[in-house]
Amino acid sequence: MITKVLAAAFFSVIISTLAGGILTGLDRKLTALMQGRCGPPVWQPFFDIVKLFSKEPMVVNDFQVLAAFAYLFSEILAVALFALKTDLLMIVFIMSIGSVFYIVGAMAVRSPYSQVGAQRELFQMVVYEPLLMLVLVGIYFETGSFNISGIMEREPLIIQLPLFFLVLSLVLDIKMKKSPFDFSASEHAHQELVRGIQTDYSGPYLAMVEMAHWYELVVILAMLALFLASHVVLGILLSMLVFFAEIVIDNITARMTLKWMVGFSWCAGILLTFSNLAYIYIRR
Amino acid sequence: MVKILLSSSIVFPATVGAVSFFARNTGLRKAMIILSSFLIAVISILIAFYLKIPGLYYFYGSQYLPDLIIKLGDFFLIFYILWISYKISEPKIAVFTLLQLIMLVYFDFFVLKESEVPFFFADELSILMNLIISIVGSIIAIYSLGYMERHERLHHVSPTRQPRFFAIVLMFIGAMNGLIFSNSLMGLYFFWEFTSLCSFLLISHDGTKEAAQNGARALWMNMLGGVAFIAGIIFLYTHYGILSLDELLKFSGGNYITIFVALLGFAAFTKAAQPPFESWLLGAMVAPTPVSSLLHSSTMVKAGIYLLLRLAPIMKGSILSNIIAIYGAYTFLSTAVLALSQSNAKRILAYSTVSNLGLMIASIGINTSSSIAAAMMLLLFHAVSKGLLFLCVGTIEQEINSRDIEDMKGLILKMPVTSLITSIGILTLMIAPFGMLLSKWLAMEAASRHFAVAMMMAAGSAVSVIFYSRWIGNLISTTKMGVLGRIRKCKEKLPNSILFALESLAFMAVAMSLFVGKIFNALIKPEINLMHMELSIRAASGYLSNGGIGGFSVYPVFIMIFLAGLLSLMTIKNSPALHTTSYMCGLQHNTMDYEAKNYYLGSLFNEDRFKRYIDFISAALILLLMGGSII
Repeated sequence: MITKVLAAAFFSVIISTLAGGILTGLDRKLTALMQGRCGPPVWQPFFDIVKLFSKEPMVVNDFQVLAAFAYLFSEILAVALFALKTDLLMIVFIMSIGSVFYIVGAMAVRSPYSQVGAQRELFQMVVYEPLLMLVLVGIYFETGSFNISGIMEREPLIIQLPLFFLVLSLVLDIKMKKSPFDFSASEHAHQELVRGIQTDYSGPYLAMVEMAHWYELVVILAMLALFLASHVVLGILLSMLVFFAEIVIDNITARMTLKWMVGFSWCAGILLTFSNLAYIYIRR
Repeated sequence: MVKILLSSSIVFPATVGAVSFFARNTGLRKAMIILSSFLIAVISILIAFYLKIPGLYYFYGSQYLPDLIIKLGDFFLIFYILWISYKISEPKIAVFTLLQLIMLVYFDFFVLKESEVPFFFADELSILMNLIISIVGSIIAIYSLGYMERHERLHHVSPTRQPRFFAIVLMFIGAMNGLIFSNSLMGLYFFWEFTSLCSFLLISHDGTKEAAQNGARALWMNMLGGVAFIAGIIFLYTHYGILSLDELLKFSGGNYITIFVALLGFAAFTKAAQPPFESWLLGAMVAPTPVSSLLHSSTMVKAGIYLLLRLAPIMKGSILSNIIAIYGAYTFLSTAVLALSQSNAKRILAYSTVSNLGLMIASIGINTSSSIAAAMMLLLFHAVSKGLLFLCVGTIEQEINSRDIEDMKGLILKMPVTSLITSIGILTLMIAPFGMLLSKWLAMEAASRHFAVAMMMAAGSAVSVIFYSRWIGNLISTTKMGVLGRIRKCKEKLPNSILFALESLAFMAVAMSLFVGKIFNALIKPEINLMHMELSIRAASGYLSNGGIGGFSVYPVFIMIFLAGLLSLMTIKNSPALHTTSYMCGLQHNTMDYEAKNYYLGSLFNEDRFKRYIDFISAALILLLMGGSII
């Protein structure tokens, strides 16, 4: 029993490492193609990680080490628990442990860039976290379960909860820090924010942070796929479609302001969820 | 035996308090307080082990004497408070006290028929509260020994007012124990008023003008609650002839019972400082910090929650319960937003206390077995962690002479022990796998059928992550390179009593989260069975299963955090990382420090303006609640 669980967890982590890396590589490649560049090979993120790990470790504040480890491990745990089909709300809570450590690690450094980045990341968190929980509550409303195993038994959620799906896509966009939501760490280091929250993570610790991002991406994409869980292949295709859409949006929009994000996301999120709830009631 | 224990849980602290008022010898008083704190904690543990619960018990020695004392005590309290209102010339206190006096005279002399009820009623909820009050209370009392000494030195208080302080604190502990063990509603009312008085006396302890003003505000708001309380009791007795808790819990429900619930609910809201009454708790922050820790976060404000938990079975399934859920969730969110705009650590803690109490009220309002369990768990974990954080702020304030979190930047290098304990305290309030978050998870899952409530809960808990994590960020952020090496060289000098209190509370906060399954099975599960509810939650070691809906396992998360900590320590030790300066875009300068302050969004969430709206809406919700009770 326990070995089985551990093996499942282990394999899911391996697979999501590969998936996360390749997806990030695809992201870079597609973005480059859209901008008329050739772009790096799809495998580039893996080369980057290997390179970063081989660098000499350098920190400003020793707490950054703890922050990087805690961030990486909590996201790995989230992936494993997702693969074991446990409670979704618990998975979200565990993911937020990582985010908190990541932010506090950046705040531990008194550089204005990482400080400002960390502050902005906090506000991003305040926007996406409630929306994510709302989506889960919506799923519970429909399926009567927070457990992934319970959710997967039901018919495709996308038919009942199309607008919740949109809210989750919005969460993905904020979580991936893509334009127009790239406040906390601008995509390119030559902007005014430098690299924001990531500025003072370097070497192996930056590698850990990057990998943690991969896992986060995988978990949220998996949640999207859950909306079509009865047809796994279609579900994965659906989440890939959203992923592609995010890349397109990233390339056709510019960064907005923090206040705009709070207002827009909460208004959109609340409107969408309530319309969807009304829809469910009418159909019943 | 158990009678002696129960009686002494009230009488012993009160007596020691009275004695310590006259103990002018500092050393003797200190020894006495340490010893009696220890004894108070032991008594509560013995009660938890030996008492047969649920059960009714008579007072040790005499049955009539305590009733008589309470009856006389009521009048004594009222006249004393009237005298206070005359002395500080605050007419509002006098008005509300006179109203109570009229009702009390009417009730005691014209309505009440003599009957004999056991003095004590004890079940798991009382035991839980008793453990919190006696153990956390004793630890805070011991902390106060070190704190008050420094406090009086810093404020040049002479002659010492410590005897008065400790007398009130110990008597308060006794009164709180009385409040939660009392079977007669009149006894409950007496202790309720007594704690209000203690709160006033301790808030105005320092005797400054501000302290007197804020004390007066606290007193009139609590007296207003007292009016609702006595009115509720009279209503209940005249309609149903019920005057004790055990009859109330057996009560199957009547037509107008919701009016009683609404009146007592109102009293509970004033005690728990829910908006529009939150201003008294904010004002109470002028009191010496152990007071804020003991009365205004871990025990007294919880009396409101205790009362609502008692009322929960009666209001089950009513509209009233739903309105209370919405009201609680609303206060949870709105006061969390208010806390967001603060940089004063004590005000942050005060607002977040109000906010967490709102969460408990929301959980009680949802009124399912899981949500009641969540409320009880929140009660426990919040008491320990918040009490700890207040003590930390007090310690920090005495050292750096400020309670602003912006002034706590880099505190880890000056006060490593306190900063680490503060960070642990904050983490236990903010992230899984600690008890607070586990209970929040349970509350969220229980709230899922009430979409509006769930939404406000989700938003509120995300907002509280902001002000907590930036506080940790400030504590550990430095401009110096490396931290661990410097911490090792730094010696922080703290009085033993303070160090003991901080360490034991921090240890409790973490250990309790580890053994959450055991605590659940021992104290929370039986209480919910007692309320005749279908219990859907099962707890095994480190695992809470929410009956097919979901489940939370604590151990993997603990292991994960432990591994992260261990590995990072090992990496730092084995391959000493190169310490570098932070990235400044080439603007490094030896003589210049860079500053980046936290976002407070003062323009968006202006406290004064925002508070007016919040008070207005919450007052409207309370009116709705009153209206809803009549329907």
